[in-house]
Amino acid sequence: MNALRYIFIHDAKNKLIELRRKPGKLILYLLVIAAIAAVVLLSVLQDSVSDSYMDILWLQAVLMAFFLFTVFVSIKQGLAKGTTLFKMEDVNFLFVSPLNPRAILLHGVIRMMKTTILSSIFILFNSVTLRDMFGVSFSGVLLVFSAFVLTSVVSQLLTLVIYSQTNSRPSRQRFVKILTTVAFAPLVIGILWHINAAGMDVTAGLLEFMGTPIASFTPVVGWAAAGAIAFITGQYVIGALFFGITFAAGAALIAVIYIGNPDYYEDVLVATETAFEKTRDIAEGNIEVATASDKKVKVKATGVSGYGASAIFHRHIREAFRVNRFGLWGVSTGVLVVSAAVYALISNRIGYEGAEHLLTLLVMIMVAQFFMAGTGRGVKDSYSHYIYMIPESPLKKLIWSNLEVIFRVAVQNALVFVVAGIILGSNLMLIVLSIVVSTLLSFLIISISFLSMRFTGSHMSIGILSMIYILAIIIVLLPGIAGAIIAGVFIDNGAIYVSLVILAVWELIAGLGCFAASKGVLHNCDIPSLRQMGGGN
Amino acid sequence: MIKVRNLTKKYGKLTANDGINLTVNAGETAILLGPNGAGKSTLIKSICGLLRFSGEVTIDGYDCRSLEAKRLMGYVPEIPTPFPMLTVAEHLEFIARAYKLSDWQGRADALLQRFELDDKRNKLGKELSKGMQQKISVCCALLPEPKVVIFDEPLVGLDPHGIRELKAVVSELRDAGKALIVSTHIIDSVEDSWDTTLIMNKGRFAREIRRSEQFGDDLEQIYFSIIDEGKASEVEEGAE
Repeated sequence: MNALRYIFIHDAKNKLIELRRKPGKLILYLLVIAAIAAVVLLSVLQDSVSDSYMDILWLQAVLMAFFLFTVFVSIKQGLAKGTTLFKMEDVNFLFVSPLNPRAILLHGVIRMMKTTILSSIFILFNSVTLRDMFGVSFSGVLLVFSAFVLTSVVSQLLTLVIYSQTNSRPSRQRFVKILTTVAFAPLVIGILWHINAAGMDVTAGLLEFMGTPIASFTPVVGWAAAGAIAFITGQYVIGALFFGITFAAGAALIAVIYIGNPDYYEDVLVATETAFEKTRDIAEGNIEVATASDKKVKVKATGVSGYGASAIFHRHIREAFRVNRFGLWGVSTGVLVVSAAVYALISNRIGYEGAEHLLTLLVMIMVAQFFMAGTGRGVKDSYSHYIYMIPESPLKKLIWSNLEVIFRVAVQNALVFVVAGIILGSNLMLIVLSIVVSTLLSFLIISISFLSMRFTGSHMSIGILSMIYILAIIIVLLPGIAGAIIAGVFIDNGAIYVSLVILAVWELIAGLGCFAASKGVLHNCDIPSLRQMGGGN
Repeated sequence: MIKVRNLTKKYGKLTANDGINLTVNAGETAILLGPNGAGKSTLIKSICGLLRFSGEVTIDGYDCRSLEAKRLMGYVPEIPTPFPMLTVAEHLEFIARAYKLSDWQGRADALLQRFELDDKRNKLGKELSKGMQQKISVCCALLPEPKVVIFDEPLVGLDPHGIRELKAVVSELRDAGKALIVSTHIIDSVEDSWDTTLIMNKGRFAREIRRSEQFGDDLEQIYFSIIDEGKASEVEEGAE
């Protein structure tokens, strides 16, 4: 049997056999499959709750925004350090073997496609939302999924081509930057032009622009988005054309690597080794170094304040200001606030009550926090011995080490809801309550993460247990949500406010309870490790 | 100073440490020798209060998880985990503040100089090589002047100068009356700086050798006779 085919088949076979030895993992996979099946069935069998849908061009705009982000990250990576098409075992075993380098490249591309398909599955979870907002059937969701996979694969190939063609060649790097500007400038100019033409009405201008050929013909991002939308709206020939161009672009990129540079080993080595180092650091518990940015940092102000456990918080602040000049609030905060503003602007045009939209935004922010709150510096600290060895009370250390994330979320949510609330014309009480509810949710989520550490020996917010962790958050939240709904049903005046107060109080009580129950995690528990066993031996 | 009584640590069905007893007095160095997977790191982490276990571990009479014990203990882990966005000097300042130390600056300067880090004060943790990271780890552990210092494979990744300095530091700490535990699987690295050598295999002490005893063969021969014996009995059990 061909060596590469042998690896491919046996790798898949051994992964299946491994599931027999790890029933937890098997159950988790089954749960994910069941959840996808349930969402798919819901979207197919249940009637849509909406009788009017948003313009399908908005879906095209959202897809383009996602794809733009993917492609820009790929170009940036390509100019900096390449991609991780290969693994260290490929370098150590395949690169030194007498196998054809082109066959090895194909092996890497196929494996990358497999990973991309698996990681794009989250789109299927949005079947119901896509149906209710845009009237998209399940087959339409599959088309969106295909566009996602196609763009992701092309993006990764683009990274590899850019890296291999421009590595250590500044003039070529400049050329790629110019080419990128030329390719995407019409998009920016077109959007600004149409917004101006619509009398500075952002939503009208954006919608107008999405209907133009400039949007559809923007390289890769426009093609894939337009292809999916054309298929969904029944324009099969146009859809096939756009998907065909995107596919051809991917094929052309493979051809460039395949024909142009069979000696690509050196080009991919640095990225592969860097990725391997990071994975090893995480497995060894050196999670802080593994997740640190590669960006060059200029050290200006120095020193750490605080005394006792509070030194942990002050250390976090020093680190945060090293990472970016705005400290705890970086690009993600900016993106969140701008997204909330755009959402509020679009919602204003649809014409529902402001309160409804602010509450929808609150739900979206709360869901986003499910995935983000467990990634603070306090959680990372618990993978290092320092925090355990500091001679301070475990509860004090727990509070000071997580204050950073609560502080960050409180300010971030204040910005989001004040901006969106002003645009939507919401009243002050609703804005304040939204900030309180969303911030207290972060508090609750962190407390659940530490409680999970006490009982499972690891943070459920990280790794394959994260699905169960999300389920745990929902279960802990349920009494608060139930109380809020009951209050909403039985109270005539100011039901929204009473419901939000009930939810906030519950989040606070449950969070305090979880923290109190988990205070022993920094005193009497196994230091978590992302490796199977706690120690080296 | 360090007393371990009947320590057992299990990971599911696997017993990593099985009924370990150990005493290290002030001014003594105990060496943990053993192959990969013998249970050395698990024992060290348990003594430092980083793992749950059954049994009893005390540091100068205090439970190893108490604040009093933590004030007395310094720990150098097998894998250094510096803070990527703190400078070398800030690592020591952070430790000094978190441990509420006074008059620490002079000691910090001396440590940085000794481990050739004084010209790298403003280097970030993420910019350091593995060896430098290990040196920072040693400096952080020694800054609070602990009475007990526990080293887990401390020489891995160090350059020759670092190895020489660390060996000297271990001797000085012992002479200053500290109790030390050093784990290693490199026998050559410990030949002249120990009072007790504990050879670990399969989670147990296979043999305890005191330097004052007449133990005949050299450490390497004793070590391999024990490990090979263990492997042979494993094969026999398998055959039965």
